[in-house]
Amino acid sequence: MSRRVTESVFLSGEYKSRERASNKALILGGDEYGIRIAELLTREGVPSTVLIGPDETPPKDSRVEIIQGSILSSSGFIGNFDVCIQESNDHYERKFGFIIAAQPAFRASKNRLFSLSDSENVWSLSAFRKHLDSGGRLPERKGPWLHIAFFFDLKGASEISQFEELLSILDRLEAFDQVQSYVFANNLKVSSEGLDAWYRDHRRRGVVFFKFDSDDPQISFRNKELVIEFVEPLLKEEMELTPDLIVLDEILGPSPSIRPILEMIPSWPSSAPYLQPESTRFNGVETQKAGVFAVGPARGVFDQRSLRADIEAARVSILQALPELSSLIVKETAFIDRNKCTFCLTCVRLCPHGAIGFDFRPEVDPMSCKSCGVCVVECPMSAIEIRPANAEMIEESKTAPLKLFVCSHSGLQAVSKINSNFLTDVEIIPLPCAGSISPNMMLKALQEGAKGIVVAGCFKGNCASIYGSTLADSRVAQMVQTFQSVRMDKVKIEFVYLAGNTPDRIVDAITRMKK
Amino acid sequence: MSKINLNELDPEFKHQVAEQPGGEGLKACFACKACTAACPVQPLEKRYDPRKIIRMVLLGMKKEVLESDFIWLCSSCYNCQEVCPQNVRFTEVIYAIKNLAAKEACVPPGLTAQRSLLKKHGRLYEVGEFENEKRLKFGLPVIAEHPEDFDALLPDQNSQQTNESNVTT
Repeated sequence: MSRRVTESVFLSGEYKSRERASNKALILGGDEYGIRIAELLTREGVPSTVLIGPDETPPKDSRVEIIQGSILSSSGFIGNFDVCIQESNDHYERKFGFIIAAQPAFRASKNRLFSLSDSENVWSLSAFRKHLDSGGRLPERKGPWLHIAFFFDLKGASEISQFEELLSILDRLEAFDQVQSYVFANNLKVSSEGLDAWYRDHRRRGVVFFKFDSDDPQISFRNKELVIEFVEPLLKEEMELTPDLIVLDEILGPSPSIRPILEMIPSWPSSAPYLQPESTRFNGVETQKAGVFAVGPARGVFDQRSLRADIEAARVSILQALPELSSLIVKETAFIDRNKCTFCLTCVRLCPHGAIGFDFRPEVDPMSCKSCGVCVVECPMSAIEIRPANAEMIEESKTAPLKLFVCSHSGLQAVSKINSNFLTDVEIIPLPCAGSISPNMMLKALQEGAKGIVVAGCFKGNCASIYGSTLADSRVAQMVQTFQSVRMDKVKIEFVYLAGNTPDRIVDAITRMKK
Repeated sequence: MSKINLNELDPEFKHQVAEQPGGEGLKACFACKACTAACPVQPLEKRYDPRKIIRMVLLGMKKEVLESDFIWLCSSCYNCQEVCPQNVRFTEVIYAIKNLAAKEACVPPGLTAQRSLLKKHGRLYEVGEFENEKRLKFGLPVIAEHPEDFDALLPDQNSQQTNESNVTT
């Protein structure tokens, strides 16, 4: 096995570049935060460079290297990122081992989503805060009260930092008399230190919060005035409000200036808003791409304590990766057989970890590969191989009437909690990820005499390969449909979503099979 | 039912209730419905829903709350107060609301009738000669009515009567 991996390393030319692996980090933006992160990392033995935008002013005295420019392109893998940087009229390529995004999210107005145009009555959260900070005034009251409506987390998720901003606006509004604020919200984001108390405080002082699960409030024009119509979620009664001001929160997205970096991260358009993977299997600052981190402002973290924790998390990840980078890796990875490969690039497209690059031919980066097996199944030429960690177990018993394919992340954990007597006639086949189940494996199991097949993968949002279990689910559904279309109704195949603490889902599925 | 216009409600109302003795906990409510679930009145009379009453107060539906008859349905069993995780003390809150309603002269006729009985006889049940004769037969002391005891508590005023028509039971 180790021979094969070594071979793949040699074939892809990675071995040579491994020796040249860089321990430098590139920090992208983030104003004073970026500089702070760079200083801390440099002190910890990770020489860091900060890249700031062409129109930003560089700090006068900093102990780290600062480049003023923009990224033209970026490629490579952990330890070996080639970043092309445009600096004034010059552009050049530089090698970095790690990339850390630290700039705050880009904000886009939600006006269009509510069919509103910018006017003196419609503000965005950040603009309204700036307006109040600079001593701006509120419009004249039409009645005894000035009604201000805030929209939060409606038509697109909002973040903790935006809720903090909303609360600080409410703080500032205390200075004005006879102001009644209403907050129309889906979910309030209070999971940061002191936020819940701050929010309760505003409730006590009289801010009215509406929480909508569905049936969002509608904004319409009536007699040239904005009217909010909604069904009060608790009283279930129709209500309306003609506010003097509407303040909308904004859509957060990764800053466009780091687009080349984003393009290296698989499926980044869906990983809104802060480059965070849609799975709980990644630690806070990791992105789907090994070696690329989102720290502090880039993931909505601004307070000093959490920021320090973020930097620490990134530092630990980098320091853990460094020794591996300088040695020859002997772990299981995907191996592409270059004689079979037809350069369709299905693997490059589908790898959930961005571990397969293309340099004249698809090549697997051994450091980034999590051996999930998604590419193995999807390759139309069957040119990719990984040996599953517990492959021997498949060989052992071929007579069990039920086959249970489980993901090694949560599936095996769940199986370990099931009474072994219950599993006597069940063969357990661990997979690196449920996403590596192939139609062939299922057919082979049936050929060997299996009466039923259960495939178990992590819940959505918990899959270590982001969409591995979703892929497995659809493949099983496809199999079931195929068998039904040829009237082979007796074949029982089922997919179950589970977590390590829900073994009952497997028990239920097996009980159904046994019937 | 027609739409409720928030602009016409009274944002001051929640503060007004919270300023009453006992009403302090009102704004801590996070609408968990524990009070409604524990209330023995609510299953019999759906309109009496502690959670909804709090919400109506918070929204400023002053008229709807104070002129309603349902706020008078509370049996003062204190179940809601016992179960509340937010220490809202709803029984006290509903007293505060009732006190405000009384100040605004929104009292249901039943209570007004009780008041006039109290004022006239000094007690809720009139004790006449018939009752006293019976008591004597059983060797019980005669009861004398002392309506004057309540003069200080229940001053003469006709405002209750004038507003009675607003309240329906």
